[in-house]
Amino acid sequence: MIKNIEIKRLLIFLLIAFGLVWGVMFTYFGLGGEYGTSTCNAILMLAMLCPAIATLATVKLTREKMWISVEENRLSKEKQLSSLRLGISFKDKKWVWFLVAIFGTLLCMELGYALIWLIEPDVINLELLKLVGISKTLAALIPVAGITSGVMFSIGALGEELGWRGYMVPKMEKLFGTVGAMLIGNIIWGVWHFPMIAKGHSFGLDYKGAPYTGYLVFTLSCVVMGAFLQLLVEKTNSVWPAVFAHAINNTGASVLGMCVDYTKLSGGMAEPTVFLLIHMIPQIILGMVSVVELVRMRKKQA
Amino acid sequence: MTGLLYKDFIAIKGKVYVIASFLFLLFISTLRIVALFVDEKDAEAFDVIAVPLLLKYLVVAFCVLIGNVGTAMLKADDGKKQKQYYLSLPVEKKGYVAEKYVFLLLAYYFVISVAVLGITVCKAGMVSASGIKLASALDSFNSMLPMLVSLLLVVSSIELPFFIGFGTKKGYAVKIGLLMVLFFAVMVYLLFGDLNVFSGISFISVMEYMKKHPTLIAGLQIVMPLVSGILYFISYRISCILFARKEWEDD
Repeated sequence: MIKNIEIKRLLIFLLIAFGLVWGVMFTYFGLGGEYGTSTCNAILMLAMLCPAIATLATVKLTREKMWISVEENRLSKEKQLSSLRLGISFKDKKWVWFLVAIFGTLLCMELGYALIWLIEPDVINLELLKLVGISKTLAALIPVAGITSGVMFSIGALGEELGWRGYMVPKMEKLFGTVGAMLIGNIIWGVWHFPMIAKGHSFGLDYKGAPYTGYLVFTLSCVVMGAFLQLLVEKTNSVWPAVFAHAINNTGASVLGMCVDYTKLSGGMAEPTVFLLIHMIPQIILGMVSVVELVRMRKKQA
Repeated sequence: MTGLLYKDFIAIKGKVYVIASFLFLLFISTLRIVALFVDEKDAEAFDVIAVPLLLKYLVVAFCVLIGNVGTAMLKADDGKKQKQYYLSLPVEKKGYVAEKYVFLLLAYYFVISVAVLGITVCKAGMVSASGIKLASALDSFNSMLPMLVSLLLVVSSIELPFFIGFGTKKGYAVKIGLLMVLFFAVMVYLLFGDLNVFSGISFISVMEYMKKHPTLIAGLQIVMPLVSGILYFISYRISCILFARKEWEDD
């Protein structure tokens, strides 16, 4: 009985989240709209709010009782899963996980580019910073600007995380277990981006196997990143670290990233999908560690 | 803390602000959608309406934040039998003070989020020559938002310990005193200072100056939020100390 209600709620949530975004995207691109224009950017920004809108609509339509936040010393484990997890608590060293969210994300980005530098040393050119008028000292502080921008301008990330990690994954966990929820939930998250990828998001339009290889690689990035975000949510019982991590990841604030000379890319590395795959290796490792830790946490709670 | 946050949200009539902001965004969005279907000349007129409207919203929102939200949430806790009220709360003194600081941060976050959404919507479909210039200016303004909020955080960092530590009446007195000093300083400058520095200043000229000095702006973007964040935390610690030592009014 409970499972049937949860499946119903999940389906309504997915219908609204996908329906809103895919409907608008297909209409916009179908009418000749192009990716990368200011109108497209506005649509993408508003699309990021759709998972949160879907959550609120589903809760309202199905008359579901949802807690805004979790207070562990008062709620049973069952009730913890029926919470939007919008609260913030720094007790029990939870503040550490906020720092992990921020600096872990930045470190993954830098390590990804460092890996590319190792493979193709000519690709990273520190002199490029001078061309944009930034001294090396200031460049070292760019990630800090990324943190402040990411945290302050994280409304889009909040919209997504509230829907995916705040609502969808906990529901899926009741049906598919921890690992199943992570895999299926994050694949769904990746598929949700498909209309944008088809029109040039992340990879452009001119690459081998477009857009299908783009779909695959992007979905993989969603799976690994989603695992890390899920760990952050579970460790803090709050979506906020995941929001900040997601927002900072979207800013792409990386010192080495600003020094990439894309004209020097050659061979397989010149393919955007291959480039992202290699850049993603630190994130894949982090994702795998997150899965292991999440499974360990669940076993301990059981 | 969630309960206290909700209480303060009701105390400052937060629903009114949320609904007003939502209606504002809806209005801007409607203007932009209509602008997509009219000819370029008429679309420019929408640009001229939408952007000043957005800037006015931000000015009003920030003034409300500085002038009202911080003190309104504290005033709601004033009144008779304060001490019994505070003792009955299921939070420690630190938790109570922390909630006020978190609430104000959430209020700033809300205003910034509406601003970012408004800017994104305003920029959509700006294809005319003046529209592209305006969109570029809006981008520069977007990058200035962290610095603006940092300034407001500094103001809050100064006033909150007075309100929390000494009560709203004395806090108001200090706040008005500081504002009067600022006001007189501005009046003195306007009367006796060099006003030529203000000639030629407009929104677009300021944004173009920012575009020509990216290093300065990047430096300020980094330093100001850090400094204001540290000041805000120090202010919180001071407020905790003052609140612990607060003398209660006789019930």
